[in-house]
Amino acid sequence: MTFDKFYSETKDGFFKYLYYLCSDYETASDIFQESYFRIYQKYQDNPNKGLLYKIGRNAFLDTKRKKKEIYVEQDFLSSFKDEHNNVSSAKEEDVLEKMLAKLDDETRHIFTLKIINDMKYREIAEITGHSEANIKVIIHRARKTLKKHFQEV
Amino acid sequence: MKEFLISQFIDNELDLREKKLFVESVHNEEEFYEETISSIDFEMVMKNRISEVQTPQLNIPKAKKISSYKNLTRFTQLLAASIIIIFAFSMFSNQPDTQKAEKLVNYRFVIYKPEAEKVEISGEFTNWKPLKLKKVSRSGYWEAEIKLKPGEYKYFYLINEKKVVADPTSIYKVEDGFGNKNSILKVNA
Repeated sequence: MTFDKFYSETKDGFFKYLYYLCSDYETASDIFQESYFRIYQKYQDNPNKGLLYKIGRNAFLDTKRKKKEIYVEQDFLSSFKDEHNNVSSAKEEDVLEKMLAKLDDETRHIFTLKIINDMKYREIAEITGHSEANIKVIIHRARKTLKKHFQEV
Repeated sequence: MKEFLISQFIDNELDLREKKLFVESVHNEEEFYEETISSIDFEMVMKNRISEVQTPQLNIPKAKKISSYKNLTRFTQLLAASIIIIFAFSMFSNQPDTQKAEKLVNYRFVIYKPEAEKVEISGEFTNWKPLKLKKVSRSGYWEAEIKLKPGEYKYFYLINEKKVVADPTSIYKVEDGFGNKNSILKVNA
């Protein structure tokens, strides 16, 4: 597959994934650029979706390590609580993002691949290094957690 | 155990045996049925909330095609790290290749490593492929002469295929993002 074709086939799904992983458009855009750039540099003759997601995931972790303060822990949990009192005025489109922010990093990563990119357990296992059985359990628990939060709101 | 079936059902991940168990459970157990329906409802809610995000434009500098090489483990990291740095600091300055007709300058790299079995150099000018240095008799020095176009290059030495060191003779260094330092060489026209 040529790089151009690979890019046009994967870009929207991959960006959505990054967007929900980072909960931040700018960071997601940076990682988006960087990931394709690396693929382009090294694997442009044989680009591979699993690898792209792996690179994106690692870049996300690197970024997160570098600027911890921006992420989920404080921001999202508190903002979610605030809106609890006033749900109707909350921005509709951010609800899922905020819900996903409730999950721990690894679970959010895995669940994002499922809900946003609709990947098979096998593909997710390949990207994350977990076993398929494990993925099954993690996704199930993520659903349960989210559902519980959702019902509380 | 059985409750995983609901998730698997939503994800189309049931095998035949599980399908049978799932249908039986839905049929026989009121609670399981309720749980399944509410899970599917919730899944629809979530799917509806996936917002349309606009994918940004990709901006990749038209670099010269770089061939990949096989020995990936360690070098993938170094290469990747270097690429981030290149990308972050000098998106366009890493293309000395585009300036044709510039004359080549012979540059001699020398490092003192008497204890080393093998010394290599890896840098932008080698497309980050390690290039062996020659041992200068028994002096402990290793050297290589490389023809370079004028420009700025990042590079490092690799000792015994393992240890990464920056050029001790160069004061210009930059972090590679993995705890090592790369040296920077400026070749003037």
